Amino acid sequence: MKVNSANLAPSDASDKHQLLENLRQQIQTVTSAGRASDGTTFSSGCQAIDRLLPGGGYSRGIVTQWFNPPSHHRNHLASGYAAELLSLMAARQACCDGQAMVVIDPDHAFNPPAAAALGVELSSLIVLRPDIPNHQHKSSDLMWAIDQSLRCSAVGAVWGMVGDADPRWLRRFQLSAEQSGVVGCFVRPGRSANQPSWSEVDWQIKRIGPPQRQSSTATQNGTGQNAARRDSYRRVQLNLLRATGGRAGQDITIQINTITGSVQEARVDHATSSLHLATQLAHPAPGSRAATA
Amino acid sequence: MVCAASPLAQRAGVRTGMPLSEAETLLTRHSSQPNHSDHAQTATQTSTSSAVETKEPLSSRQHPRQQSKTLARKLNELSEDSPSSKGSKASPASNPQRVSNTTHDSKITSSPPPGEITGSFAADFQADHATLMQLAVSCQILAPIVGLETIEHPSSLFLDVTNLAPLYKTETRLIQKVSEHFRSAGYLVRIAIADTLSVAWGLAHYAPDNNSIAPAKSELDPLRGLPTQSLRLSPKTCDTLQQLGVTQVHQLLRLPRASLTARFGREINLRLNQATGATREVFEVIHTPAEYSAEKILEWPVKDTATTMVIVQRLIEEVCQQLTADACGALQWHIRLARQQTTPIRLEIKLFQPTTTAEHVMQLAEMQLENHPELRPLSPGKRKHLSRQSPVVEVHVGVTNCVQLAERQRKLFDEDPSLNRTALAQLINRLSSRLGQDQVTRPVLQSGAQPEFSFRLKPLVDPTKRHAKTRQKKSHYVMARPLRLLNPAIGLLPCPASQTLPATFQKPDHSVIRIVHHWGPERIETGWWRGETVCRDYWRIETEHGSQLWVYRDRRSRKWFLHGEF
Repeated sequence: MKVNSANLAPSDASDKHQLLENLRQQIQTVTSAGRASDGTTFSSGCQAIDRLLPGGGYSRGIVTQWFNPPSHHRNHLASGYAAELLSLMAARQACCDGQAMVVIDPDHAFNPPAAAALGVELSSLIVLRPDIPNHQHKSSDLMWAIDQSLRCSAVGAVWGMVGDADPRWLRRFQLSAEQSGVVGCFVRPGRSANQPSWSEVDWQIKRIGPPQRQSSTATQNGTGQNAARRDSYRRVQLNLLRATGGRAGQDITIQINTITGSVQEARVDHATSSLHLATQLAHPAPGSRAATA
Repeated sequence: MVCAASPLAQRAGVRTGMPLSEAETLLTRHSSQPNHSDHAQTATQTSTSSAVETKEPLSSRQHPRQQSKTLARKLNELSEDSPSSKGSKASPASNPQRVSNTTHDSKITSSPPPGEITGSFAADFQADHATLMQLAVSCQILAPIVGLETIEHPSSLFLDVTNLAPLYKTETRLIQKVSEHFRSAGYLVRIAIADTLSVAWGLAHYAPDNNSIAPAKSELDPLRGLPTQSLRLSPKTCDTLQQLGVTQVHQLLRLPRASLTARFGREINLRLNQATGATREVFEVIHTPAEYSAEKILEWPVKDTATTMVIVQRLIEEVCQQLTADACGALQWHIRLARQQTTPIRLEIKLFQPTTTAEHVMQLAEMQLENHPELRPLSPGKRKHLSRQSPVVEVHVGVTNCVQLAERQRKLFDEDPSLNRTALAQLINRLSSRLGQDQVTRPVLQSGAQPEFSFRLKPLVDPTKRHAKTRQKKSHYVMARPLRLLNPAIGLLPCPASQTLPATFQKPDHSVIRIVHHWGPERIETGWWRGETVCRDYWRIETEHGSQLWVYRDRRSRKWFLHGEF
């Protein structure tokens, strides 16, 4: 690869950030050369999340993963809702041009009315409910179905729960998505976050305690629907584990209204929320090099 | 209520707007009168459109549609039991001279009568046409050439019975056979045999008897006593003729042809020439659906898998060529590999969209063969031999369900080229072939308060039903249900035991859920028609970790369950 030498020679230290951006763009150009997409991005459905993504949104022909927080319990429900909601929103945005969405539902737990309330067009939905993948044969069928769906250019997005998967399958998913332009949005268990990843964007969901609410007799008694709607939100912290062409390691706290399904950046409540007293002074990577020098 | 009545029914006293029970009384009284053959035609006309086999008595408390059906059934019984009806059937047989004269060039028409008593049903011309097509196909056991009249909404069948009378001995026997054929299908019809289509049509629609046989070479004579409508003239022409005092065909025939042409154009002369046979008239012949299949009987039993698949591919290509020639697409394929001394291997390939692409069908066949229970590989990477123990001796490929392919003009600007429907259909076919037809579904919302029954998953590949893509109405609630419902719900142990919402729950893995906030309850009481009534009180609870769970208490068993998470 021939790199423009002018971009590699910053005039002064203030151009360091610009240099890094140029290098990222050139790497992005090289890595995305084989993709079927035209380089355009689409929104994740939340402006705060878009700001962290390279290009201001997700690109087509990528695989994104949302890792649930590690749980000691066998029940994988813990904080799984946020990952499911955010990934489904991204999949919905990828299918906004009328393409089909393939839903992988090995647990037979997908609830279409809730997805319809979120704005997903049910007539364009293909729900795959393979048998519970206890058997080796059935597990390979599930992976094969995901791969086939990612290869089909008529599909906009493939969304679903993907448990423990062989990294070779994940690599195949990424290659298939690149070839067809389909977006894969997978919810993964937290224990899989340490596995090798071939996806473009990885998110880690972190659990945050319940927000402090004013005591409301209406909500306690269940008689005030408006009060319940106002208070029925939950906050989660997103950590950008991996973002090709972007800056990994960024955090954001979002607030999800579980009644309306709206997602927005959580406003800092100085009275109740814990804040870092000292702001982040410098990028951690140069700092560590200076310490070891 | 009677919406329309034929002239013959009107003679019996039946008037439009009259209650059906009253019409039944009038017709019953009219049928008891001797030497009155009109009611037989009325009864036949009524029963043509509604053949009902139920035996319930006519009641004024019945639904109007049911009343109409019951009345139609009663009228059928009257027509069968009345002596005049029997006489009308027997009259052609009593004149063998007339029968023998019409054995050479004759047409049979059977049609529903024009002035039938009907209920207030909306006309469904497509369903009528489809039923008529089925009847036409079924009539091919009676005559080799069967067709429909060539108008927008046909209501008559044409059977070319030229030289067929000797097979039935007489034309009367032929008419009886046709009548029995339709009666077994639940229809009472009016039948006429004549030299030309026009005369047969006129007799079938306007002759006083149900069954008519026109003498050979009689030209327009059988129609002379019938109204001018029997010539299939347009309503406008008939109205004009009626204003001129010309209501019968014999009155029309007395007028000079030249003046008729000058006054009415070519229509009357054309119809008269068609009736006399001077102008030939054709009708659209209905052909039986072709069977698309191909088979290969092997001279030597084949053990090699690749060889067998090559044979299957060639047969599929052959069938695809047959389909392409008829502009048809297959929705369901059947492949049978007959083996020596054991049961054959049968593959059923069902498709999302009709196709004639051999490569795609072949891919699906190979996919099913890989997953066939008798051929599943013992270990990954090693494929069991197709016919290790019993070689293949015969291969049969057939289409069990096909439809006519409709050409569709693609829009230049309004359609997104990325919406490749063919690719999507191929994906669905592949997924259904490997995962199973019931595993590849589309959700359909349905009314139901119970969360498990608020939607239904329909298989996408169902060759027997063609579903239209309909935009479903959005749910009225906004995220009032979790995205995932636990199936089955997880039992919770309230701590302390309480009938109301407790402070903590204990899950089966002994983990504790401490409730910080809660909303509810939302009571769901439904499903009595499915057996035991479902009575649940749903609560949305927030735990100390920030999770919002959807729990319910079953009011019958008084147990708590975790059903989902928000």
